Amino acid sequence: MRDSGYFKSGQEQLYYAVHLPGAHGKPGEGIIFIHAGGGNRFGPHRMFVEFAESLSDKYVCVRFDLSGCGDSSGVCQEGTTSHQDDIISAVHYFRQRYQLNRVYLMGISRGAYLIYQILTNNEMPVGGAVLLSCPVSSRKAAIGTFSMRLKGYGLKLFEIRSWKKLIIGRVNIRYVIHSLRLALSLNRRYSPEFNPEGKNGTDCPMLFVYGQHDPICAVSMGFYQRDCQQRGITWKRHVIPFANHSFFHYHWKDQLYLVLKKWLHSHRSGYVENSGKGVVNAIISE
Amino acid sequence: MKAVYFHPLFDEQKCSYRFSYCLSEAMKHQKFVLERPDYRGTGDSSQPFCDVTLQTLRQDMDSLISKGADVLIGLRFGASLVFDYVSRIQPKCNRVILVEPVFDGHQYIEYLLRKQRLKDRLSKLPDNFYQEETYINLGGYKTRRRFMDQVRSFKLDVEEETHFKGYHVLLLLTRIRLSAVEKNLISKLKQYNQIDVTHISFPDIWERIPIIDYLPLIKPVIGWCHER
Repeated sequence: MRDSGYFKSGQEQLYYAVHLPGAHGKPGEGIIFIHAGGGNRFGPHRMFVEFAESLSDKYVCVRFDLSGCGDSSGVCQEGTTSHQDDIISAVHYFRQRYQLNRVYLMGISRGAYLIYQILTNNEMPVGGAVLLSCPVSSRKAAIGTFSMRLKGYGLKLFEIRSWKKLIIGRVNIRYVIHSLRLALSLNRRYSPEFNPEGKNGTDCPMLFVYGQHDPICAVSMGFYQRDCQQRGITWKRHVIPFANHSFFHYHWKDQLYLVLKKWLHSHRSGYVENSGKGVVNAIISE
Repeated sequence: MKAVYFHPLFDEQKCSYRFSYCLSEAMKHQKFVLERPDYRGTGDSSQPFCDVTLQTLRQDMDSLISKGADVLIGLRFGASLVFDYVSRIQPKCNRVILVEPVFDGHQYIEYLLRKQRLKDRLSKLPDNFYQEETYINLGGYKTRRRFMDQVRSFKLDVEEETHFKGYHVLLLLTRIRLSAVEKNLISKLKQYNQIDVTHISFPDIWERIPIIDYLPLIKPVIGWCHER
């Protein structure tokens, strides 16, 4: 069963699509998917659609477009708090609309970063968060992403097609420079605001998932491990072998789905394997 | 006036999605209606992409257009599907807008594979990583190999017995240089149809998500709809 429409966040109308549990499902628990910067409610290579479709036997699964993205009105402004407001509005709106007593948030890349920001800075009625490829402000991560992109462009220079494009002026040099500059500005784009007293924790358990070959993997995982310990957040992490930032292989997507389902199930049944407040759990399969 | 928009496939859909929204909003202001349906296995559809074949795409096109449309708009492979549909069926609506269509399926698949290989190399993926007989990883999508072969052999062409006759066609291109095959096709189309070819210097919105105003690409579409 599906539902779709618009809800309001500030002045903007945000488009949503909801996968509702069938007749045998038990509504009451929901998952809200938050897409990455420049993405939309489908997620990378329709990951959110497939996950929502599969999980909708047990959960109310909500996918929506942040303001200025997909089918939502407004202008996409990454440097402002408008997207954080969108997520907060979504949690309140869908909790009420579908009478959800527990809401999970799941985000990828910038979507994951926004979730972390919200949960550590606000009192939110959220039961758990799944953060995929959650980036962090760090010079190391920025340099890693920058060199990965530079290498990508470098590899393209070995192709005749690229030279043809260069000669006829079809290469958008401005975009290349923009993309490289964007990578270097990672340390400014993702800067979690620390509570100086370190008390800004949350009861909400979190699952961090990274791709092994994501340039931000090691740096971000280290950062969030320390930060979660400081804040007393219950968390787990999982690394998918060979995977990159957006899990660009359907095999990784399948693995991701299993990890997600297992984690959700452990929370649903009230049993959290090996975890407790402030305990760091690592399930690294390499 | 009702127009139907046919989106591209793979990540090209994601990258160009905002364009279709902006186009739909701009058309709404002009009192046009733009429908943007999904083929099965794409967009919001509940089916998985791994079941998509050229047959399913053709079936979807047939059922979507049979509901009625005044203008058919397609982007990239969506434009190729519109071309294919008009050549096969000859629908009642006589206005077609093709935005940078995929002329040659073989080149298109090679381009997708090249992009995939680049990503695989950056991920240091072993050569034999998770190979399946029936499916291939194409742009992160589990894609049926049969579908890939079908797209590979897909070519836009106008034959003597074509139904593509008596149409008003707007061919919107972001490239100035066309291959000999493309030029030949356009001249063939001109024999039977009234065709306007417009070149616009604009980023490839289906390759990446540009932080730009889509108006230069939207304007000629709406202007042409008004004129025709």
